[in-house]
Amino acid sequence: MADDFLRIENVVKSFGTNTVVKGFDLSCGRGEFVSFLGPSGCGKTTVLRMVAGFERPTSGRIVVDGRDLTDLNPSQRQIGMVFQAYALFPNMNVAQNIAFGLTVQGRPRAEIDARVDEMLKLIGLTGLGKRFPFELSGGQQQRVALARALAPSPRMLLLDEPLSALDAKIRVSLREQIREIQRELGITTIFVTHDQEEALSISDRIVVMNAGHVEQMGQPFEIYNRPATKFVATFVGQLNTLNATVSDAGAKTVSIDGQSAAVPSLPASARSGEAIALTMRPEAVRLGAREGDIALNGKVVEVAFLGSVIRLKVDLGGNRIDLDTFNDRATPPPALGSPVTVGIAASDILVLG
Amino acid sequence: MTRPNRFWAWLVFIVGAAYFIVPLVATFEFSLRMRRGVHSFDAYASVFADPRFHETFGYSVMIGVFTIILGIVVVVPAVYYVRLRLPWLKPFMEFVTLLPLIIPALVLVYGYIRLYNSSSLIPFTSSAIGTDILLTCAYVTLALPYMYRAVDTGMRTIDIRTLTQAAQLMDASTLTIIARAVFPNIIVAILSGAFLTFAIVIGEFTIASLLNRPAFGPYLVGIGTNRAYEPAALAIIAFIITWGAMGMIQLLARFAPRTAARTD
Repeated sequence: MADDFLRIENVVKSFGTNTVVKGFDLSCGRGEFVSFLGPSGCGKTTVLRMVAGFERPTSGRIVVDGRDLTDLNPSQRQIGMVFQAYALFPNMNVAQNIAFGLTVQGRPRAEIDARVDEMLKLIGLTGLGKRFPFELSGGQQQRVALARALAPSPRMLLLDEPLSALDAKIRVSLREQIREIQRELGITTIFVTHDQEEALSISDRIVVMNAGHVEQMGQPFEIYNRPATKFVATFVGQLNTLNATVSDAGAKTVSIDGQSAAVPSLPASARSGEAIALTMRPEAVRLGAREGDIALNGKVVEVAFLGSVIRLKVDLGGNRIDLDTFNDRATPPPALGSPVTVGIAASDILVLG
Repeated sequence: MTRPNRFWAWLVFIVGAAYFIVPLVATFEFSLRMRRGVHSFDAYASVFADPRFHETFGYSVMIGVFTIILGIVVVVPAVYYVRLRLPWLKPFMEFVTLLPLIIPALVLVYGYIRLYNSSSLIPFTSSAIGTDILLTCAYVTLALPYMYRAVDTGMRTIDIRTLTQAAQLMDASTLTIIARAVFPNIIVAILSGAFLTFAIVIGEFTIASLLNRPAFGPYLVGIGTNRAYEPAALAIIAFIITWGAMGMIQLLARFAPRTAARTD
């Protein structure tokens, strides 16, 4: 996105001697949905809290819509936020919770009522304005929290793991609803999560973070299919790693458990006899080899039925490889112990640093 | 499945209950003996007819109300700030708020008299109103262990930090946050502390007596030294007031705002 609605410029955050965010940069377009993805302690929430104003950067700048927010208090930033723990005011009903920001701003009663009705409609809870938070399900409470954050028309929306406290099924439906609402309002949104599936499914762009720095930034398709580092490849999605030995560096052939295979993407720095690791996604491996595939023989050692997908584990004679096949009612999965040939498209092999 | 033998549990309960109830029943029974040969409420009538009872009780109620208000104004923001901004100070707060239980009231009041006598820089004791203010402050200190713990427990049940941050983002001032997002959610805890404070103030003798204020505690003691049946009636009345306060705490607990950490 070109207009850089949000710019986070070389932001560093230290707590004492511990630097938790190490030079974070991000440019984010108006109306974009960006997810911060990473394991616990990677600094993603700290960056979000710095955007919200709950933490001050040790150095660096945060600019929203051309205005430097770095030293402003949270109340001066016009930013809405949804927290993991719902954070609805227990003493207020749904309508009062949604109206809180507008009431604090001293807006006229009629305007507040109209806005509350509009928000209730937006989150699909029309008619539940009089209910108290304890009378709502977790998903409903989080929708009210979203409406409360959006009611004062903030310039940006921050979502701090808003789905983490919910059951799996509700998580999926609520994330779809959040994305729908975000698209409808066109509000720039930052979503913090440690769940890769969540990030992949709803983001325009994903920022993968690790140990306080950005590992990779890009669209979900790009992050998943072209991971820039081994960390991204292993953290986002599943990854097979095959230990091989370079048999002829010039001819780009390797030996995997005694079976020979040509790997065109073998790096030029590889030397004959050198041990290397070849990685690929489970869906890049298939039962049976096509022309041009690397074909490897092995036997099935595990069959996991996951519904629409069946995940097989195949022993190649030392290396074990996971592969996914679609569930086909007419074709039962191979039996445990049965010999199979697996095919890997050479172009799907990832050679990571 | 066989039912567990509850004999010993009941025995311990009955012995424990008897330890508290028997003296109370005996006191009540004695308070009814004022008229020779029959049980009557004459002692109670005598107490209620005494203008000193009304004066001292009214005075203590007034001091109690001011103590509660001052206690809330001091304790609620203090607990809020310690939980939110200075959590490392919590052990120190725990220690300080326990001091009134360790330091005898007698030591406390002598300290006050030395510090705030009529020839000191802040001569609270040089006027009745000044002494009333000093007495109120002393009672706030005395009730601090109870008020602090009640408020602290109340704040522990709600996520103060996140509620505050949510309110801050919506442009709410600290005063608005405390008044609208925190206070209503801990009101029951505050009232628990308030009723405990009230119970302490109504029965307190040492400080009121040494500051020479017309409180209910010194009146109770005074009656006890020169009457026979009225002190027993007053003891029962004091018990009823205290139990009424405790009952109110139980009753109000039902109206506490409920939190809702649901996952569905």
